[in-house]
Amino acid sequence: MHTWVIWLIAAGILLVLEMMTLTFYLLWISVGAGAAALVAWIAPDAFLLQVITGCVIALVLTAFTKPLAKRLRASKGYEDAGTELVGKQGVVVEAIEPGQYGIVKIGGDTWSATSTQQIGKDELVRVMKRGSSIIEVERWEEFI
Amino acid sequence: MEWAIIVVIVVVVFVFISLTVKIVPQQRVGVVERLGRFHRLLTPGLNILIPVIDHVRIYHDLRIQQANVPPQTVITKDNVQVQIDTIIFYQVVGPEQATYGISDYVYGVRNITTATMRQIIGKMELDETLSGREKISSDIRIALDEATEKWGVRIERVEVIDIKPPLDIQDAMDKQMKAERNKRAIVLEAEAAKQDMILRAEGDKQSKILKAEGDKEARIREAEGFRQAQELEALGEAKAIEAVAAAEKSRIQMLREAGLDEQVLAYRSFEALTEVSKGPANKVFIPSNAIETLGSIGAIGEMFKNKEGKK
Repeated sequence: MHTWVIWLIAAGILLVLEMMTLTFYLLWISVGAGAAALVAWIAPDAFLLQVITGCVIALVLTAFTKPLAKRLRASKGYEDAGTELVGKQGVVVEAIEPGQYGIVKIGGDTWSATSTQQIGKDELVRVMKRGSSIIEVERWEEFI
Repeated sequence: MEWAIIVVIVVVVFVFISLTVKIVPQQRVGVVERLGRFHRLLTPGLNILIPVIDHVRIYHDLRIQQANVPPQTVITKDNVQVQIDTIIFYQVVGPEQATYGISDYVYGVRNITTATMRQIIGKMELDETLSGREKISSDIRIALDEATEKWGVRIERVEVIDIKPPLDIQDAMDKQMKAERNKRAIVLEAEAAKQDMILRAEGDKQSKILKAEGDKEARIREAEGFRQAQELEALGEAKAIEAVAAAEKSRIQMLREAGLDEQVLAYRSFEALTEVSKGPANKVFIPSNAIETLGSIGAIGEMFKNKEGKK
C-alpha cells in the first residue's frame, strides 16, 4: 500500500471524528494529514518529511484560528435574561430602607435590592447595578 | 529510531492543538487561569488558549439548577417538630466568585438554605407555617441573597414542598376541624329553629290583629247601620204622624166647611149603631130617650153655633 493512501485514510478518519465530536482541533490535524498525503504522493520515501509537513500545517492552521475565533465571537448568541437587568423597571415589594435590603420584583422574579434612598412599597424603581444576587436601584422618576 | 521521533512529534502536536482550541457550548463558561492567576472567562463559542501557560480551571453551568434538600426536622415557635421538605432553584451568575469565593457552592447553597429555614420557622407558630408559604419564601429571599452575594450564586427561589406536622398533632388538627364544623352545623340548626319560631309567632300575631280589626270594623258598621235605620224610622214615623194629623185637620176643616149639623151626626150615629148591631153576638137595645139625648146634644151644638155666630 502506498504511504499517501495511508495518510489519506488517516485524514478521512480524523475528519469523521471531527464531525462527530465538534472539537475543531481534529479538523486542523485532518487537514495536516491531507497535506502529508500530498507530500507522500511526490516523495513516497521521505516519511519524516511527510510527518513534519503535516504537523507544521496543523500548527499554522491552529494559529490562524485566533482571527477566525474573533470574527465568530462578534456574532450574537443566546443572551441570559439576567444580563440585561440594568435599566429595567421594577416594583418594590418590600420597602427598602437605607442600609437594609428590600425586595424588588422585576418581570416575574424577585430580587433583593439596596438603595441609597428610602423607597416605599409599590414604588417604581430602575435597576442601576447588578451584583450576583443583589441589585442596586433608584427611584424611577429621577431619570425623566 | 526514526519511528520514535515521529510518534513523539505526532503526540505532542495532538496534545498541543487540543489544548489550544477550545469550544465552549452555550450557557457554559470556563474560568481561565494564566500561570495560576485568574485571567479571563471562556465565553461560549470558539476560544484559543496558549497551551501550558493558560489553564481552564473549571467550567460552570449557567442554567438554573435544582437541589433537593432532604427532609429536615425543624422546631416551630410553639415547640412542635415539623418535617419540612424543600427544593432550591439556583443559578450561577458570577463564575469568578463561584470559583474563588466558595469551595463548593452546591453544598453551601443547601446548608445556608436549611439554616435560614430553621431560623425563619423557629420564629413562626405551627399554624402560620402551614398557611404562610408565601411569607416563608419572601423572608428567606433577603437572608439568602445577603449570604450568597459573595458566592456568585443567586438562589432563584426556595419552594416548600411539604410541611408535615407529627402524627398526633395532625390527629388533633383533624379533630379540631371536625369539631369546628360540627359546631357550625349545630349553631346553624339552632338559628333555623329560632327563626322558625319567630316567624310563626309573628304570623300568629298578625292574623289575630287582623281578625280583631275586622271584628271591630264590622261591629262599628253594624252599629252605624242600626243607628241610621232607627233615625230613618223615627223620621218616617214623625212624618207619618204629621201627615195623619194634617189629614185629620183637613178632614175636620172639610167637615166643618161641609156644614156638619146634628142631623148628620144623628144619622151617622145610627149608621154606627147598625154597624154595631150587625155583629152576630150583639144585641143592641137602644133606650128611646137615648134619641132624645142625642137630640139634646144637637141642641147643645146649636147653642155653640149660635154663640159662634154672635161673636
